[in-house]
Amino acid sequence: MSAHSQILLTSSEGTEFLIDRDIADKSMLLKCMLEDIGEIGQAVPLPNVSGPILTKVIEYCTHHRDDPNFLSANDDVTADIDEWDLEYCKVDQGTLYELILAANYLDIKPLMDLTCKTVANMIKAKSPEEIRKTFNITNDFTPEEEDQVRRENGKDWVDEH
Amino acid sequence: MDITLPSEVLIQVAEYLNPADLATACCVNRTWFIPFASRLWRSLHKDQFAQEALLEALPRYSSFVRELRSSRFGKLRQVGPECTRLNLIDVPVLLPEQEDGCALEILERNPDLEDISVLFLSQVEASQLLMRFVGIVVGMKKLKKLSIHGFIAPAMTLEYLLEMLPGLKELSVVFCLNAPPDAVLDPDFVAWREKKEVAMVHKADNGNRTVAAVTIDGATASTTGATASTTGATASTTGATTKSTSQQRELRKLSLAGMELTFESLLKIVQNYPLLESLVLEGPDQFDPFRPNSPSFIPFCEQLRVFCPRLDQLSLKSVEISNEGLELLLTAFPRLKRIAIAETSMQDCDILQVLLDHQGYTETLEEIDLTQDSFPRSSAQETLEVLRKYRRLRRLRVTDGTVMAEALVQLLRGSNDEQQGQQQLQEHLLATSQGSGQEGQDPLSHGHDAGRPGQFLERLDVTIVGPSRSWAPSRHYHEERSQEMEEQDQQQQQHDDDEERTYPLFDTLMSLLRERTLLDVDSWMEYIPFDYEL
Repeated sequence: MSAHSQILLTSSEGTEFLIDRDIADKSMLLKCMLEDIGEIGQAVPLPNVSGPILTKVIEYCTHHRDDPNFLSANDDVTADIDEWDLEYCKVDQGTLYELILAANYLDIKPLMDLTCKTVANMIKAKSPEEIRKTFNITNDFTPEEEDQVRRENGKDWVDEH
Repeated sequence: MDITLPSEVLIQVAEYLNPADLATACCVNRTWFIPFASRLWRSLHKDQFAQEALLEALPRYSSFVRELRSSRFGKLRQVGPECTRLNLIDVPVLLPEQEDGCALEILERNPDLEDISVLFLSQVEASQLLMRFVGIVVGMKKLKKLSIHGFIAPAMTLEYLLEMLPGLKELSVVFCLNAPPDAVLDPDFVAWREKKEVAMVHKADNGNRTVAAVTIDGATASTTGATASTTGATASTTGATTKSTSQQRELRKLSLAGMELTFESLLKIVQNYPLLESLVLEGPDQFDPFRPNSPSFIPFCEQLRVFCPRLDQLSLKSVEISNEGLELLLTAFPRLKRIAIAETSMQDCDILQVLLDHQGYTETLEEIDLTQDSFPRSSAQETLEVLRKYRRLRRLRVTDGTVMAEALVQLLRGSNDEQQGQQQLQEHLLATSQGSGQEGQDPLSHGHDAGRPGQFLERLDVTIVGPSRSWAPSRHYHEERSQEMEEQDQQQQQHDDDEERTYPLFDTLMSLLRERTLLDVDSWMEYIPFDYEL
């Protein structure tokens, strides 16, 4: 295996992406697969990831290409997101969701952490109704159920921060 | 395109939210409920268990909870499979007939618990329920830690518990009394105890004439013969013991408080646990004094080392001990790591001196904790010697202990008089033999680089005494003293008012202590008492 070897990926619509091996290795799914079966010279199909999302994922992995702390980058739950990552996540909600699903599927932990943190920041300090609006979620609780869930889950006993 | 986030993603999102946001997020809809509510309930801390609203809801959410500390178990029917730690505090063990349910039932339904701590508040409750509790607990094969407060059970129950739970790592029992004769006994326990007794009698009949009477009360049953016999004979006491040694006995820490024990009966308990590392013993007054003239004390110390070669932590509280007694006991702890002695009557025991006189421990001793009101004040010299000798020391606490600021500075600098003297001598020898002035080449002066005094200190809890009242800023003196000083200061305010005081000794000491990176000097300053010589 040469240091400059490249991997061919195919997105869900069949678009081909040629990327460097070290970029592919940021994904634990691809890394393990390539280690297990070797580079077979054929394109790796990624039926769960669309072209635009794959482009976005490759952008992330390329930016963090030489990041020595890549795997522990977002471990600190309270740490602020760095500027590039913050800009990177300024996408519409559909894209953000797809990014999360792609990061989850491709097993890229730092991207997963980053996108989940971004979603968490969209939840913080909102009411349930505001959260529903933000995420376009329908409330499927009956009023009685909602009242009970609210009562039982910390309305009276969670410390306000 | 309309995508929803799957629960597995929401669970990861929940990790970044605080309890207040989790409480809101779980109200959003059905999909969001479980990921956020489970995280919320998992984050509970013990103060929250005092809240009525939480306890009201707890039974329906207990499967999310991993660790429960509660005194209010009335409404909790079932603890979830993930809850491995259970702390039942303050009257939790209600009678089974009571409508509110009972902790025993919770234990019965959750045989996979790993850590249980119970408190039987009343003697009546304990004597009625402890046997049932024991019956349930011996079936919990995953149990690692067990703590029982208020142990009112028939003799041999403790031994039974220990033998039935070979995987147990820590056992703590506080207040042990014999159950009243009319107590209802667990049939398995009765069968076990009868087998033990038969085995003992059988053994006695089999030629070992030194083992005499075996009474029903096993805790006091052993005879002088058994303990006086050789270690080999005691090691293989009964058939029952030998049989169950096929499974490794894991016990590392045994803590017994308020029990009427003799050294003999204690030895009978610990002898089966070769991995034991920590022994915690607390009075009552009935405990025989730790003195050489107490019955069986000498063989106890001798055999303890043989049976439990890994013992390295000793904690004594409210027992009587003498210098000779401590010396003997320490022979069972050849690699002592931690020693804690508290509330112990010992007019003639100087713990630090006994330690210092003991050979060894320089590589092992990490913690000395002496809390005492009555023992003779340890001399400042002893404290200093302890710091000098035990380079691995992480914690040193001596109530009423003192150390001289100047001597401490010298020690921390690693250039005390003694070492200087040795170095000078060495230099002198070198100069006379070789005629050259090479310095600092002796192994001794290299030796203290390897472990500088106080290098590993995390906590130093002794009064630091300076040479004059102005050696340290008065706000650092302990309360009485600083009040005294304030009064004095008020009297002579005119003199001092404009004077900018400097504290060279104090500052040097602080900067030397700051070099000890494990010691958090700033928080340490909050609790450390300073004083000055009168």
